[in-house]
Amino acid sequence: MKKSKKLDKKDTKYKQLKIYHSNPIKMDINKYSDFYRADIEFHGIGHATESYTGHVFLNNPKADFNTSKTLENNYVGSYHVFGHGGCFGDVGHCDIIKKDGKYDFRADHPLTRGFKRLIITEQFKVLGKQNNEFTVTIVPVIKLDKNTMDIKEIVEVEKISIVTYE
Amino acid sequence: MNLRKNIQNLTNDELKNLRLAFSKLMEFRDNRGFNYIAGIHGAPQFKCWHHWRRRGEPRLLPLFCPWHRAYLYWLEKSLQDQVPDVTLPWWDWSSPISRSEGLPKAYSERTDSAGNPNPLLKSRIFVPTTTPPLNEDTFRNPGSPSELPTKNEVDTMLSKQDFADFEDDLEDIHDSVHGWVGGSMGRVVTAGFDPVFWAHHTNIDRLWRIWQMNRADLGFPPDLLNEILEPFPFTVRDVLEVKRLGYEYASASGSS
Repeated sequence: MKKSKKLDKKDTKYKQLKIYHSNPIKMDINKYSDFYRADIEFHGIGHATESYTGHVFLNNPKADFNTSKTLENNYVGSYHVFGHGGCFGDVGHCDIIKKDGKYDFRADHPLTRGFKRLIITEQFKVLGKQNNEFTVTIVPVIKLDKNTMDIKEIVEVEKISIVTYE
Repeated sequence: MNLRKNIQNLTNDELKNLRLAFSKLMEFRDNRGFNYIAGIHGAPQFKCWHHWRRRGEPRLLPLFCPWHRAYLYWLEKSLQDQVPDVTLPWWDWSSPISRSEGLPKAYSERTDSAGNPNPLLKSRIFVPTTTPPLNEDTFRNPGSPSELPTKNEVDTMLSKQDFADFEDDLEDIHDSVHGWVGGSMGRVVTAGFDPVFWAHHTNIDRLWRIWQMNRADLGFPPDLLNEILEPFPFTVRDVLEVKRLGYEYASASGSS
């Protein structure tokens, strides 16, 4: 698990963006108490804009940029996104076109959404006992520089799953 | 067999040759030049492979490792066209010195020992065909050195047995370093133009190599070995073994 420094709101090197909250994920972990591994899977992660770090908490909707990254605060880990950096083509260049037909051997559009996974086994063994419904909070942090895009929101994710393995 | 070395361990002559090779490559405006090769990754060609993507079939292809290995090879050969036997060094961002001082001095000094501008500090991004056109020097915005990946994180990644798990961890650490350096390196569009991109990715390639060495097999899904690494004339199979590409990684070497 990556340790991250506390963000000072006066720290202008970093920018606070809109915090993401997932829909509830129902999972009665007591039925699967012998799991040897637990993952959070982030499906369909967008990466078209800036690079960012997403600090992930379970069942802590009040988590923000100054929440300590500890299990006591239900912090389970962080992921990083290497952002595209905005669009530098003509109109439509960054639109993700789904390919049609089995004879199209071109690769998917570079901005096709990605997949990330955090292994949260030890954390989930603790947190899973306390609940059978989980909301995932992602606190995104980007770095400011002279080219930073003017965006308020950055976390794009199509689906979040919590998966355990026995 | 060419040996790639840790940037911290280059001799003065090796560093001088590396800088000379980069300088010469940066002088060309045609497809031999650094500007052209850097532009394969992001703008204007956007050929880089990140994440798992499809190509012509339902399978997701994890080509991040082999694609970047081919890319490094391409630049290294181009550098060697200018200065024979020069090799790409790696930047171990998890080392104690990196986590204490940040970017290697070889890439952050303004001038070389002779007082000439350091070609490893930055390059000119010249891509007139993008919208808007790109014509600016690369720049960096590094974070605190203590935020770089730790040895523990790297060791945990190397201990993963499953390729998918290893690759996920490697890409995440890779993404974090791009974000740590920030600036041009923090964006896919411009990352390849920063000379430190190549030292970062040589370390990524080295870590894949180490992971491969710890296995009885070469640790890549066998059904993907024929996948093409466009725009390079390679398949995954062609780049799976670094010795086949004529290089190896050395933490120490000596010869009679």
